[in-house]
Amino acid sequence: MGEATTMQGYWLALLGTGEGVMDDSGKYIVSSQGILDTLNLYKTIYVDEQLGDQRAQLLADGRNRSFANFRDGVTALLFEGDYFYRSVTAEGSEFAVADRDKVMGWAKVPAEKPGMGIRGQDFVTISGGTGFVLNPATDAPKEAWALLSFMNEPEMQNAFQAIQPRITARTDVEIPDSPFLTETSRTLLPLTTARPNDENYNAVSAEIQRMTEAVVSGELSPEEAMAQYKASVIGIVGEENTVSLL
Amino acid sequence: MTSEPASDRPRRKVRNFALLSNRAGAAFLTPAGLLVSVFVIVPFFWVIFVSFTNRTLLGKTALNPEFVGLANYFSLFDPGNFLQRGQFGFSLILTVQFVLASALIGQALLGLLLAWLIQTVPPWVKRITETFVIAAWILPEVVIGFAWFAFLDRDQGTLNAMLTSVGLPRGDFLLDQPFWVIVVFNTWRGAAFSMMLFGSAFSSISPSYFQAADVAGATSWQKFRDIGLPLIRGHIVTDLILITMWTFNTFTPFLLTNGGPSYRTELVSIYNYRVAFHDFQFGKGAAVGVIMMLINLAFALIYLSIGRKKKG
Repeated sequence: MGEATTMQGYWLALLGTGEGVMDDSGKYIVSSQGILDTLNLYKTIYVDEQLGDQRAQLLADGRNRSFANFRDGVTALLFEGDYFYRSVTAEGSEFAVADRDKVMGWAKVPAEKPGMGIRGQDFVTISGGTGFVLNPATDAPKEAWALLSFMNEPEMQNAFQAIQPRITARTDVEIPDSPFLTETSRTLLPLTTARPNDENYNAVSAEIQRMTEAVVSGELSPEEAMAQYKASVIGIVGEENTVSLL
Repeated sequence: MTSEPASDRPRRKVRNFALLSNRAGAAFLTPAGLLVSVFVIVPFFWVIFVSFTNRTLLGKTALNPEFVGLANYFSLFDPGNFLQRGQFGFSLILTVQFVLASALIGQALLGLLLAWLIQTVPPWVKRITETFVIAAWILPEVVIGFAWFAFLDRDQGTLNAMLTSVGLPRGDFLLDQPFWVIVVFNTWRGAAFSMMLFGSAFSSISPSYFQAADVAGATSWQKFRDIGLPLIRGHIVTDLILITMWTFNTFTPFLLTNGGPSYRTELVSIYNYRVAFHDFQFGKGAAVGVIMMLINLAFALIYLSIGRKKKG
């Protein structure tokens, strides 16, 4: 359990139903067909048809177990980010996949039905993780801005790419020696979304994890889990900041 | 907590041994007093204060926490979700069950049994048994946690290797029986204390009682029931209160289960940790801490009053 449960799992399925965790006006959606469809997908995969490794969702070190399963050929398919390629399965790491450029492939996450994803997309994805940000309360905004500008110049970004190839925000900076990252970022960046920039997001995300875990463990039905989520989120952000679509 | 309650009985005057002058004594006490106030007394009141605010690590309430009165306490005791998994009430009830099963039944009974049995065995068996039981008690928690984790693992675990070698089915203990895992773990971990306490209590009983019973042809059970137990009753009460407090506060099961799966092993100490240092809700976490302190205080008062009765 952790943010990966929310972002590399729940979000991707939810975006595929055409919804986000928040609506356009910034209110948390606490009851909707999208949430139910997402939870039913979890139920299908982990409870009804047992297609996924339920233990990896429930155990304390579940994420590492899912990596080990993938490395050992036990699990064929994981929902993961570019981090999975850059770091987890990279040569020399604990979960390195031997000869991965030949045996490992990737696919976009499809929406529930074509055209049904967020913004009417056929495929969905979500970004976010590392960022360099300016503290709004800084005493030296000009200098901080100058430093950030300097760090983001093509020359600096190219030097950084040489140390650690990763998805870049600049179209004029190439990712060296990484056809995988180049290809995924070109395909996925136009489709991508981001998590809400909201102080309550972490607490809501913890409730999302509780909701999916309750369904995966078979403790609650999707309807019951959503009702519990609704009550909890209203408790965190107040009823006026939530919206029920059902 | 250490001050005696006022009583009407006339007190014997305490004689003042003039080892040091009052002033010198105070001077020597000051450094220790400062340390205790900075690291014990101030945090104690600070936690109580924080529990009335909505202080967090992140977000706008990190810089400007507001006074929210009893809101944190009300949210802990919200009847709407009090008993749901992952909420305070669930943790509290789980902890009570954990204390009953692993401390009062597990540790105390096992300790009593071991202490009684090793009274009669040859000395070398006694020493080996004591060594192993006490080793389980004194080993570092992280080592213990890792050893148990490795012992119980479904795929590579020692226990499953042992079970399959004698033809028994494998188990997925940490996932299917997490509560009983931590109960057995804590029993194993803490039985040494009860064993040592009861052991020394038994050996303080005059051997002539047992010799007389032997002459009369008493069985071991009769000696235990009619001589051993009645004479160590005071020790049993002390033991039960101490292990209840320790088990109530224990955090080590976290190393085995992380409080999961699905919060099924989330004892109040682990709940407290999650709220305060995982979700970073310091205000609510402090409120949990205050409630735990009150519960501990109740145990401590019972313990102290029994101790006082014994003296008087």
